[in-house]
Amino acid sequence: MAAVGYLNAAIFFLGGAGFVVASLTFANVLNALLLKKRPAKSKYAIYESGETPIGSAWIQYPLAFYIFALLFVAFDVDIVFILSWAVIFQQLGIFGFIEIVFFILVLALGLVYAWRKGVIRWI
Amino acid sequence: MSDVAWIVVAAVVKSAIAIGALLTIFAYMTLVERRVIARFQRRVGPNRAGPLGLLQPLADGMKMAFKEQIIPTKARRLIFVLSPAISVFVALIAFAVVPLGNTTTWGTSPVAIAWAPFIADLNVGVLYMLAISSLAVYGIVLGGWSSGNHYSLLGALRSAAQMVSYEVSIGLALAGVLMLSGTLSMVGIVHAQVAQGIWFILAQPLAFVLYAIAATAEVNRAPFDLPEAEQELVAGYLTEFSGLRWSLYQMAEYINMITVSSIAATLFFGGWTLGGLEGIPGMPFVWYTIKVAIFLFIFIWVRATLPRIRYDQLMKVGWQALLPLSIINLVFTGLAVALGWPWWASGLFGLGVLLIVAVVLYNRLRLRQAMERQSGEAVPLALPSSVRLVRIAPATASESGDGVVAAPAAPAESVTTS
Repeated sequence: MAAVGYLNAAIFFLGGAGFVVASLTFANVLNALLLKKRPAKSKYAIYESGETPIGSAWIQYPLAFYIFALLFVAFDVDIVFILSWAVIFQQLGIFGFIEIVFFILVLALGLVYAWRKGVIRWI
Repeated sequence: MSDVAWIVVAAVVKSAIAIGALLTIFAYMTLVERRVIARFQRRVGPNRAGPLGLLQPLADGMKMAFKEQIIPTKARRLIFVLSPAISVFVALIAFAVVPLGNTTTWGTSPVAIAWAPFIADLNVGVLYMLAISSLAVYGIVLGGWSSGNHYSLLGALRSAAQMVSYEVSIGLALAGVLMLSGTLSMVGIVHAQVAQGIWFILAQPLAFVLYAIAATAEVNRAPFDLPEAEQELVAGYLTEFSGLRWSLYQMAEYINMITVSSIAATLFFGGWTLGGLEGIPGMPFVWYTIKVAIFLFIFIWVRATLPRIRYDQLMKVGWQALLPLSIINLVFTGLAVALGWPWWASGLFGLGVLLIVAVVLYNRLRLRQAMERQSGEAVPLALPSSVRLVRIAPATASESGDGVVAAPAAPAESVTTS
């Protein structure tokens, strides 16, 4: 039955992709057929509240974003393990619980470390 | 025809119905939202296009399709064009594993099962859902980055940081439910709730609250709609998008709302079941729709009620409140399941934690109000150290009398709070 599920999901994927392509093509065709283009330099400039944009948009951005991304990777990998453990947990019993408590303890230590370092505070 | 052919036909028809239904619900969701918000604000809302404004979504859709789709000269064209498509595609396919009824709703023959009211009953349903919803961040980040606009880039980065922060809490909160159900399949989780005779909200109230908060942040809805904070970032990642590309982003947001509501209904509120009443033909779908509709209404209600929170508060809530609480919930649920305690053990524990959190927050509020009453002016906000408040004194004493701002006449100083 699982194979049928994946087949159905694949067909649904195709349907979703078909819709996206169709709607974008539809709008592009309408644009091309009906729109009277009046190109102006200011129209195709980026919008910065009416001011002339200064410099490139690909600027240096705060490092904090990067640290959150790193933390996320650490925790998300842990979640993959925890989810797969949670599913078969009832068969593992108390042994499985003690094992995962150690695992979660390491995770929690990481969080405490990040907290003490002050990196999960947005500054 | 062979069974396989029937299965393919059923899948094609169901996919078409699901996509059509999602788009229709999205269209009418925008209308309902505008009308309901209008009622909250004592206005009438759009009611001119057709009876009760029912043709308004159609008019909006027509307008959007006919608008020029501007691509700024500074934008990276290919990624700029592709990113709204990625966004809406990911939002659509996440719906594949949401069950609107039982596998055997129409009978037990293979063909009848092929017409079961969901696209796919994957045995990794919840994992699939988490994986696909993680992809949603790509559409937003690529769209904001490729616009070539400062506001777009910052809006996209904020959105990415927000979504990854809250995804961790979602995963850990759902792990509590998975421990009780022992399966990742969405249909299997509903069956587990029927077998145990409870909705998992009763056993996992804390997980549900954590999921509700984190999911609201995950779909960028108020009060967590920081990426679109117009006072700071124009329209965030949406700034440079126009025409149909803009409406594709809107579509993605609303479809994501429907999906997270569906997950909440399935995992915590028994999906299509309602205490045995799902046996009546046609009714599972009705119960399911009612549950999802209630969640969607709460989304609108929250948006009409709560102000947007600050970005540093957002990160603080995500990492310092939701994440530790979800770890506590996970450990206690594990303990309860391992020792074979009944479901109300973890339920009572969750309620207790929620009560403690509520009391702590209430005491803080009371303390703050008392301090304000004593000193007669607002207590300085707990702002991050990078924020500097500048208090500007009135120019002369005579002018300060009719000034609009009721600030005390202090010398110009820069107040830094930590």
